[in-house]
Amino acid sequence: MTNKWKDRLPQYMPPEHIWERIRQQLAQSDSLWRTQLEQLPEYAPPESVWRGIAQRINSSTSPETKRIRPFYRGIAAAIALWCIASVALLWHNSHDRLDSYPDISWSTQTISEDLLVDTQALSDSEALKLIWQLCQDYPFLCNTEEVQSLKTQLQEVAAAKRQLSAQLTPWETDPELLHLLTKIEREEAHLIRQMVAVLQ
Amino acid sequence: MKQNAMRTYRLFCIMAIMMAIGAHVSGQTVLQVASRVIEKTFPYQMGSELNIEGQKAEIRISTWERDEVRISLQIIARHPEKHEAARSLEAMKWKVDQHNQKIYFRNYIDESMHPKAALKAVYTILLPADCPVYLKNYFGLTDVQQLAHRLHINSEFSKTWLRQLKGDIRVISSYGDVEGDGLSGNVFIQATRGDITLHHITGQLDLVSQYGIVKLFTSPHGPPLSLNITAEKSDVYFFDAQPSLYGYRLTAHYGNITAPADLRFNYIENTRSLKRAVFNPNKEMGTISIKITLGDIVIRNP
Repeated sequence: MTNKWKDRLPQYMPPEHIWERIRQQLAQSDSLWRTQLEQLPEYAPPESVWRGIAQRINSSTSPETKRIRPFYRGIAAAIALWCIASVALLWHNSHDRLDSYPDISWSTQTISEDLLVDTQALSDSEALKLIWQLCQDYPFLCNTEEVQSLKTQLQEVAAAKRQLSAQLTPWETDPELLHLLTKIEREEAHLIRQMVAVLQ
Repeated sequence: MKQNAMRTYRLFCIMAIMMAIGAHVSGQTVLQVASRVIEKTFPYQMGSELNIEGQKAEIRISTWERDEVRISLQIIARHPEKHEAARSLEAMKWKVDQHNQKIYFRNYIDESMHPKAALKAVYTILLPADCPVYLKNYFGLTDVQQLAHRLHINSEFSKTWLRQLKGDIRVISSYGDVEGDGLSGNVFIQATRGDITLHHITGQLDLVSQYGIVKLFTSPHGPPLSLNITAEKSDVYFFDAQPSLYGYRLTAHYGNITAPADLRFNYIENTRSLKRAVFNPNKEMGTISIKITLGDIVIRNP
């Protein structure tokens, strides 16, 4: 439809002088632009700027820089890896390992701190050490039958205490074992008192 | 009504606060308790026997009518940290084996794993009364009931309970008390540095005690009793409603003999270092022979 109407419009050609005038105006503006461009002032940057640029170009392409950059990149990568591995290990320890024992049942038990076993205090008592030292320094004191008998008993009891202590952790809650330990300690104390009385 | 409810509520709150404060003051530790259960059942035939070896084990044995031996083992680890409790639980090893009709069950702590948690094994065993049992236990507790054929126990640092047992009973214990009730048959108990306390005893009893206290209580109207005790650095107490119904052979080296007034001993020797006393009743309910060194013999009406 549009083409139909367009074809019916009359056509006109501009006169030749119009084109000539446009050409002249374009030539004038071109020569004006060129003339004014030549008249623009020129500014040269200070020499130090060029030196700085040159130095930077040189340093960025130096072999040292090339060596240092991969080195730091390696360290950064190692730290990142270490962090990731640590987090993964912690996660594994706290969650995955516990989850890997599906046959374990869990519960909690609250115990009084007064009942915790002081495993450090279960070594030979100072009194016992003094008696052994005394018998070593003055053998004639310990050569009597009575002292020898007491010494044998004390050695037995001290060995039993060591054996039992080795089985105990601070979180022992077995009343029988704790009772037995108390009994052994009392017997040791009783024997030490007897020994001291004889040695005096 | 409303006021009463308010008052009760207030009282409850105050008590809860006080309990919370009390718990805080006394200081408490929360332990994570990890446990694992292993169960095994074996058919029982004539000639079957059970061998158990436990470390830090609570071994409880009782009987049932079925021809089966059922062993349930619960392994427990206690530690404030969950992870350590789980790790330590792996250090408690157990093994089960069967050779012909002999069943072997064992648990032990693998020290190379350095467990830091408090470990414990709890055995619950059900078996026919005729099944012989051989048991070793270290640092634990043994509780045996109603067996009728044979029971041999070897224990160290463990308390031993024996209840309603018949047949051949042999217990060797060091650093652990032995307590019994209703023992009859052929009984041998040796306790070193542990006490022996037996109630309602009948049958043949041989007791050996070192550094302990022996307390024996007879069964009224029970069958005859034959008691033989050897003790060193121990005291022996014999309790009976009618002690004059027994025949006595008593020897005390460096010790004393104490008896009720109606029990008139004939002292064959009576020095400071040695006392030997005998008594022959008109109607003998049993014989009691006690030899003691550095300890006292006490016979009493309870």
